[in-house]
Amino acid sequence: MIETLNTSTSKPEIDSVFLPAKIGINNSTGYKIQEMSVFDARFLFSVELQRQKVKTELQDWFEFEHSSLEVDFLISNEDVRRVLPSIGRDFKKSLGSETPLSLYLLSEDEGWETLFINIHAGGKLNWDYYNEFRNEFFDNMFDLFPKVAERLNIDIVDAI
Amino acid sequence: MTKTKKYKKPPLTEAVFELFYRTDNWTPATPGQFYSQVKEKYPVISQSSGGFGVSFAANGIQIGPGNNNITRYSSENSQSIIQITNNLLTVNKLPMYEGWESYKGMIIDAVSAFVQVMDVKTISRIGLRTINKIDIQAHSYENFKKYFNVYPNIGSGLRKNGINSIQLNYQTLEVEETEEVLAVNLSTLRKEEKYNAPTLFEIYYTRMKEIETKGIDDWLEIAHQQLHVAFESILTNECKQNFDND
Repeated sequence: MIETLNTSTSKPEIDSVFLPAKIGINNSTGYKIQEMSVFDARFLFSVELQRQKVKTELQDWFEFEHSSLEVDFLISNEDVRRVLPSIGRDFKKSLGSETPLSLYLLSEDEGWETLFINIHAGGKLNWDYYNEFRNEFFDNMFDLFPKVAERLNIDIVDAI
Repeated sequence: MTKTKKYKKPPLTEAVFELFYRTDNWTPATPGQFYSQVKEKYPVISQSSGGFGVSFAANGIQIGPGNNNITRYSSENSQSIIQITNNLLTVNKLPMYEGWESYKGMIIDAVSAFVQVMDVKTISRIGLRTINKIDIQAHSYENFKKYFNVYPNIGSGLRKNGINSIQLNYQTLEVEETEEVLAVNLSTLRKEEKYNAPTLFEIYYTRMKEIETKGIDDWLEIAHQQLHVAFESILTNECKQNFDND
């Protein structure tokens, strides 16, 4: 049973689907409960809204080569999705904020899929710097997020 | 069955039916038992976590102790989907949408299959949602008004430098006794593939009062009619003309 902290009125009102959240206490466990609105909850079970959410979260950093393929991969691989904004931010910082980045899903044999981060360097990046950058990136990723690292790769689209 | 206008290129990107229920006999084996009922039409099964500490409830999502896994059953082409948790069943249809009769049949079949394996004690809430994406060509106040009959009133003095994003929600009470409401969401989105100025247009009809399984068929017709009327009323004729152009 949830004992809400809202003050009650004499006539019960119809819930708003937009309003979250009563905050209350679950009497049986003593834990504090927070509730999201029904309308916000739809992101968890609507395919289209999940796709839209992923695009919105990432479009500051990345373009999608084949929108639906990459987005659906990220919906099923939440751990990858969670670290991508940080990766995008770091790449833009290291490679220049104007360097376009795109995501490309490569389906390999036996159902294995790899998400490529394509760096569109516009001929401004030399291979030595790129190789150093790439090695350092994967060293860090395998230390911090090994499960994510094995599903990622990076590629430079044009370098000097 | 209600006659509704069919467009050549409808903007529908997803239809979602949702049913919140209570039961005492959910077990970890239930998703597998349900799979045996639906696997001919929905052979692809997958499971994802609703998130640690996230549990579904008829009045929203609770963040706290407890957990819900979502089991998803998809058709081969991934256009038709059923999802279940220990208190929620959804039936999702992605394009190609083959019309209301076909989608309603999917819902009724899914509910029938579900009650075969699950002793549903109470249906505490039921809802039908359509999600449309409409290209309004440019994100401006003027274009928003050109496409939608519902818009915020923003005086010219407040939009001297232009309006580039609008988020609008409202809810109307349709039937007080059964706590049925119609909720609408309009949200401009960033430019994306095939859309210059996409705008999400969601219409949601829900009944928050308990309903029996046998009442679902009739309720679906009411909900569909409500969604249809809202769709036709909220969009301007200029907007709707685009759905019939080749």
